[in-house]
Amino acid sequence: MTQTIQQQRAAFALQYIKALPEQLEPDQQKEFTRNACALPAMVHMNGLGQALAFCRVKGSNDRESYKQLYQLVSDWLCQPGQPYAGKADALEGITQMDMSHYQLAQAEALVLMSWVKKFAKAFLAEDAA
Amino acid sequence: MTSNNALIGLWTETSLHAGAGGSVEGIDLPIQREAHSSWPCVYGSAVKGALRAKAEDKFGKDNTSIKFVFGPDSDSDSASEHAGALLVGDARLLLLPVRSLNSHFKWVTCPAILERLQRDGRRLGIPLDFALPQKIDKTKVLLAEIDGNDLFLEEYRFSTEEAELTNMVQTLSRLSGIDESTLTAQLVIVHNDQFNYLSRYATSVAAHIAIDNNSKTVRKGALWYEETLPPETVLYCALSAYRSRDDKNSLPADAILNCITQDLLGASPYLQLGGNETVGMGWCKVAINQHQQA
Repeated sequence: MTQTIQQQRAAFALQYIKALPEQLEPDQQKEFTRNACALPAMVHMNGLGQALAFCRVKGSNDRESYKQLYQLVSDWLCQPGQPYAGKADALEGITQMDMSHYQLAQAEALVLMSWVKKFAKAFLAEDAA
Repeated sequence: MTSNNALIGLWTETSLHAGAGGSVEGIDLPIQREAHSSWPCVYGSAVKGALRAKAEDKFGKDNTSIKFVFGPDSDSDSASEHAGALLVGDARLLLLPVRSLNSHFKWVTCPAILERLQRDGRRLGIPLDFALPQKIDKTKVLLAEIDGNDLFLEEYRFSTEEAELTNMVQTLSRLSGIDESTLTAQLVIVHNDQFNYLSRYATSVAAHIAIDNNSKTVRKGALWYEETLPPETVLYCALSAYRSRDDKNSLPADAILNCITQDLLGASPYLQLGGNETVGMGWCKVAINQHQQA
């Protein structure tokens, strides 16, 4: 079966997001959605490296929603065919590989995030608007 | 039909948000871009609207020249009588200001942008005489003067190479209104692919919120991200004027163009483009480059 890269990104994000309600409390799900909506702008303003490092730091303080968001992006970038394929995680790829891979990874993370944002809003607990 | 043409340079003095409407991507309110290159632009309809708004402010809505130049008011009964005699092109990106870790900001452009500028000049009969840069390596940048240090643009490091840019600087200075000495110090030419990357990601994105006036806290759900072109961006726009299409009191092409270049922009060479006018956005300094044709 041949899928476009957009379909592959969507499938990856969908599978990941649909599994989250088993791991996150409703409040944590709301926090995940808020962070997912903010991440593309953060990447745009500060670069992929700074944005992912920020999520990693937050996630290390037992903030499960940040941990999951970091893991999602990092896992995708380390998939076969992706800029950091074969690396243990995205920060390893960011710090060990060259500028053109970094630029590809940033572009890739942003297009992935447009799916993540939508699926998070669709399938996770929502803030009362 | 003979036409009179001008290239007008637009040098943004404040942030500019020519919005593309909503987005399904990461940024909620992105700016207008060309589909094939993703370079930022301002659509011709937006530029024409800004020119007309300025003209109506200055000369009054019922001024007959406005009808000849821009066409009859679309709200009036005569809207279908004839078209305007002024053709306004998209405002195209020429120089993108990019922050640099180790220097004052740089005005960045690339061979593809410069080559297109020359093609636009040829079409309009406005000579833009400078040599296009040679091939550039992706890890390098061309500068008029180098100081031996690598250059950082955003978070990327480039090695520098000196290039003879005198003619190009003169042309770009005339087109934009930026001093030659300033351009010499700040003009940077990068590989087309690097430019594409910078023009996507070196724009500014700001978070906006709405405050509930009673509680002075953020209204629920009122958070959005808005992209703008930063101040110091340089765009240019093609104007072509034809004889007016109203068959009774016809104005020749040169008079139509003069309505814009002299009467409208001559005394106050500023134009407000794009949205968020009431928070100071969209103010451009206008430079006019004209070449009279027979």
